[in-house]
Amino acid sequence: MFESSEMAQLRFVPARHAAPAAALAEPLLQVENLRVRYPGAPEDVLRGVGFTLAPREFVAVIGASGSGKSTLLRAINRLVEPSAGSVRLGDIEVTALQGGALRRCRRRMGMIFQEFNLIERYRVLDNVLLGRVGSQQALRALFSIYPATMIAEAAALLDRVGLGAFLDQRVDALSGGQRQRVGICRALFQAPELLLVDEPTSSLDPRIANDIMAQIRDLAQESGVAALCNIHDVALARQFASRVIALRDGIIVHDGPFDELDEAALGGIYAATDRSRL
Amino acid sequence: MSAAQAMPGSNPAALARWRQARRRGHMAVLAVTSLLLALSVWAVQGSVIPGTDWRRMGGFAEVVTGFGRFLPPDPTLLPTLFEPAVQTILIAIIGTLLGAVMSLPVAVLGAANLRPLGMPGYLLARGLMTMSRSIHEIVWALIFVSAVGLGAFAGILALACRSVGFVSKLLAEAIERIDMRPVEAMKAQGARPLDMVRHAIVPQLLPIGLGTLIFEWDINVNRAAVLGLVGAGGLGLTFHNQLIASNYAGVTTVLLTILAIILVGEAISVRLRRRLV
Repeated sequence: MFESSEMAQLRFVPARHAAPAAALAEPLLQVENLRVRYPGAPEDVLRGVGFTLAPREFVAVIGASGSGKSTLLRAINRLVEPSAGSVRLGDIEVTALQGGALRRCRRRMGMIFQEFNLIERYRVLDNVLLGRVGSQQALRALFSIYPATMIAEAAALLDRVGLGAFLDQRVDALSGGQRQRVGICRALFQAPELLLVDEPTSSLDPRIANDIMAQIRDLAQESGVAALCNIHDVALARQFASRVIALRDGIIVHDGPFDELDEAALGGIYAATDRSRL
Repeated sequence: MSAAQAMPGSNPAALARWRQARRRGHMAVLAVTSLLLALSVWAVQGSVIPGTDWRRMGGFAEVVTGFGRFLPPDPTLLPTLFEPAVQTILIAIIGTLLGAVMSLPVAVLGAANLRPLGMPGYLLARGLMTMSRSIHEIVWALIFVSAVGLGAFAGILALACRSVGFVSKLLAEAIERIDMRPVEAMKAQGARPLDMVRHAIVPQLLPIGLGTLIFEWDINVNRAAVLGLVGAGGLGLTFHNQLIASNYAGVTTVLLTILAIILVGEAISVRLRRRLV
């Protein structure tokens, strides 16, 4: 077991992210003409979305409910199947992958969910360790056997977000903010290159929402991870992201610094979305 | 005029509807009670009166004397009851475990949200669930006694088949209520399908599955105690032998032993459920 002072000294910086400077020039994520239509739906939810994301970049995705923000994130890691278009992570065409290759690619993308999506009956540390379950040998994964160094790393990460004392608690005993911190740790523990963050603060009160956003941004920067973050709250997006992608009815209507968005533009982004899409 | 009608702001039309609804409720209760009474009278007239051997029943004193033959219990029989009692408990445990193993594929096939073999598999599973529940354990025991012979093995198979209906039905319903969000999270992080089942699905099913299993074991201790009546081993066989030998005090001893086992089983199952579920 680790003393809390020892855990505090362990910093979570995955070796994978010590990328050479030349690599930073290349976009980490390239999305081109991405279209998604759900089975039975009359029209596309995403209608030809395209953008790039540089390594270490922190980008907010804003838009009204039903604008396609969550679908965009889910289409990038193929939780939702795109009906057309391309998603490239580094030099890998994500949309062309199947089976084991898709699973290996997904391990390079951590995801933080609006409703945390944790294993409620597992303890905090076990939930975080699950972040790497896919990269473990099958039998080890089946019986939850993790190397001591991995356990120490997960414990240090929990300490970093202020949950070091809670790592032996069951997740269903935690508050909403604490659960989201566990979700953040699980995603970062994957040692991903890209974080897909889907409305991480929607079910939290404003003060905790601010803390959570700050932790996501700080940890992403420390770890050298790029992040694409759906945020419903415009004020939070303004506070934490230098670049904003705005979606309306499945189309990107703005991609650039937040400062370029005036009140009229914001009004347009959040104005009367086609109600049939909600 | 009632107080409610006189109150300012009351709605006479709504009040009338309320009275009508209440009257309909009273009429329904009266109709059901009358029907049950009529059925009882018909059953007594058509079955109990002609079907009872009134001449052999004798007077009240004879009835009391008949019951008196069961008392006091015969304590000398107790040492011979140990082995069949253990056998009864083991039949219940192994029968329940075998039933649980048999229930797993039936539950997966019969879960509406999974249906791995489509509608035919779903209907087959639901049919098996219904069949298992609708056939009494004594009938299952008779079937297996004729198939594998007298003894504990027939009892185990009977209890296993009887348990499938209840355990698989509850398990299928638990599968249908699974929270898919943890499954989605594991899929998003590149976990293997087996990892998703092990870490995102099994933990959700475990408390319901264990609770159901403990409850079923509790019932199976009860069932195992009477299966011996048809030759499927355990205390039931001893009970049957005492009855044939007209040793009514011995019958009471066996009944009290069964009661003790059930009470102990009940106490254990309550504690286990409290800890695990």
